[in-house]
Amino acid sequence: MKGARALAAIAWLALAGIAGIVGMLLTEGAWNAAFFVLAALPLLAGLRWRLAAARARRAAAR
Amino acid sequence: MNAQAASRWFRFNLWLHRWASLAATLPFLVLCLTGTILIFHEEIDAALGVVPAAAVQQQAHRPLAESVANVLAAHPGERALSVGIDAEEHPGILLVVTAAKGARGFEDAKLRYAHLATGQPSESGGDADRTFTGFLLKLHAQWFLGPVGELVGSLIALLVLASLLSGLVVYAPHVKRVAFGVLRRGGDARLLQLDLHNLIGALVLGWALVVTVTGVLLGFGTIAQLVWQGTELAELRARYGGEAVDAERPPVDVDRAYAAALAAAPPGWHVISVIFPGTDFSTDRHYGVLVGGEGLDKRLFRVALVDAADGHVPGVAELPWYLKAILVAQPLHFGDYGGLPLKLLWTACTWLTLFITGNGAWLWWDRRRKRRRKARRAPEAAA
Repeated sequence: MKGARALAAIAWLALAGIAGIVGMLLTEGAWNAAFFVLAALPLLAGLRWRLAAARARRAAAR
Repeated sequence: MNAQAASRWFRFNLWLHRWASLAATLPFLVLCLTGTILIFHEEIDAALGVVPAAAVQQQAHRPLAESVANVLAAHPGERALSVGIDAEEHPGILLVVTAAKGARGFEDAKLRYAHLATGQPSESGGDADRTFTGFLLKLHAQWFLGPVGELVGSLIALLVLASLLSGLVVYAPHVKRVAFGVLRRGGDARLLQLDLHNLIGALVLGWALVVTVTGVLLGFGTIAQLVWQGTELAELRARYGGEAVDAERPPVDVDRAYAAALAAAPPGWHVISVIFPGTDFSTDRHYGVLVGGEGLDKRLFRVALVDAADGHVPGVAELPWYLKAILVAQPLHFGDYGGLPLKLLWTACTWLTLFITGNGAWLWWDRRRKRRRKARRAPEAAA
């Protein structure tokens, strides 16, 4: 992903993280868990990205 | 924006990103290390026994005034400034904040505890900043410089914020050439570190924006408090003031003040803290009782004034917007409101941000070192 698309993805991830962090403060119960996932979304997305890249590298090496 | 202006804008942001980050590197290291520990302040305080556990768990408790009297009897020469009950975190325990007789402020306050079931004081307690986390908080929030240190902290947060925003501008042209998320492992350590810097920076951007903006706000905590005392509290004092009561032994005891404030508060709200008359946060005649609800209302508490001479409540005041902003900023900065999962997320983001601060400094140093070496070799080659 390059250029404007990449920047948009970064902005969306940041906004999702902020929404999750603020949402957790405002809500209780099940909503709290949902907002936590949103708060952790940037890190989860990064982890998934890296795992996919590592798999692709291993496949190319074979 | 034409090409020349765009180039100037880019160079300005590159300069800002570099120098704001470098200036903030060392203080940021201290903030990250202390911050990581402070995220777990509740667990650490519990492990160190800072706040005692209730000896007996029961609903009924002795009058608050009895606990206060017992604490003061155990510590002659002190007066009560406030009492606090945290039924969720420390059930069965009453916090009695005391200071030397005649003191009005909380600067040299001592934290004393009493068991609500028996009214007996606990042996735990003492100076708030003598505990491990209290010491770290003083370093993290004030750099041991008092209120001036808070402004220093605010400035550091502002530098980090400038670094984040300028970093985004600097990254925009870069991501046109190198795809987002790619780590170039071709043998050049510099490229790999640059890619890691960009990737991790993008992933923690949202969290870092929240923590830095709230950090800037928290730096103005003492100033906001002084403004409130000088304006709104002064107005309340002028409007409801009257003959001062004996602040150490008010005619209306703390239990009656508690009950009166609870009756005047919105339904479902509870008392967080009762501040005695004759302090910096009450009038010379009134108790200032902090009442809060659930969720956000717990943090955005209101102040019920309770007349310490006859027990009536002349008014319940909302806090001004600037104090509300600071109160909301506190949990958003420390991440201590969502249990262990949020604390772990906060820790991960703190360490990732610390990593990119460190590797950003390395990238700058490495580039400088290579340029110097190149400059040294150029005359040799020419000779």
